[in-house]
Amino acid sequence: MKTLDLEDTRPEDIGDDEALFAEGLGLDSIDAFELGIALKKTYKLRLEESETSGFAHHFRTPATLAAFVSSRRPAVS
Amino acid sequence: MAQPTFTLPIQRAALWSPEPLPLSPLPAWVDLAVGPPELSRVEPLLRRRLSPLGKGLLHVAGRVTLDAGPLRAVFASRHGDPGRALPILADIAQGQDASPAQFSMNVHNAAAGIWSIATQDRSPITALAAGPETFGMALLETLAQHRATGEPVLFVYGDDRLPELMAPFEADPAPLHAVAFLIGAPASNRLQLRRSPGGGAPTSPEPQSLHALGALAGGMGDWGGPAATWHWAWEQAL
Repeated sequence: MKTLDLEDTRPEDIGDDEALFAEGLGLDSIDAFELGIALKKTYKLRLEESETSGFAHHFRTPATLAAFVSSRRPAVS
Repeated sequence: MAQPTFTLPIQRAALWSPEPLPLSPLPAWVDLAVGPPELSRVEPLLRRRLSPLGKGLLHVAGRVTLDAGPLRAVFASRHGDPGRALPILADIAQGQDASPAQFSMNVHNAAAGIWSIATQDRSPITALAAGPETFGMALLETLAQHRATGEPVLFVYGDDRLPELMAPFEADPAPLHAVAFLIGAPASNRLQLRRSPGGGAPTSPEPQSLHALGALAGGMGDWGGPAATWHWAWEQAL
């Protein structure tokens, strides 16, 4: 909510399987970039440009995003 | 040489600030609001991108345009939103990616762009900054566009306090406020805008916009401001 300045939305308003972009929550391409950068900063993810074709799928809903982060998070040593 | 005077036909006027401004009561034809801005015409996904200044600018713009239809506009601010630039510079200095949302709004025409999208109005918009005389120069630009087109033109001005890092460079700090006029006929008020070279009357260190509003509140008169290169004044037009 904070990263995207969703001032009138609460976390519980967004379903795990609700579409984040376009006809769903209505986020736009700038939000996609903003989310990507927030994930890199928060979870130390490495997002390579060569993988961008898969991002549309991974960023589709909160559930797909969580699965993506879990699969890509560096192992905690 | 005769001093140039310009007659400013004002259809509507609005002032907004989050806290009361140190002004005498304004004429009743100025729509005055203190507190949260009213932005029901701007959908939430657009509204969230606006800074407090941007919200103030769109509040006063909305108050003077109502259902006026397509309008040219002049959006003016001396400093704009420098608070957006600092986090971007801090990220870059630390070798991190800067926020795309902050970057996309870190331009002087950002609030004007959101206004254009929110009102679905593709009329030309000018975004203007002109140092300590931004308020007067932008009024002149608005009047010029009105004269050139014969159509009403929206004038929107606002400024906010500078971030702490930049504040020492500011001689006349402005509390957050926004002002709008709808310039054009049929006017409910006409003001003479008179200017002559040589600077304004010595006045307390306030931004020119507050001098101008103070002059309106005090029954007209000079509102140059300490750093003005021109002499500015209101006179009630006949």
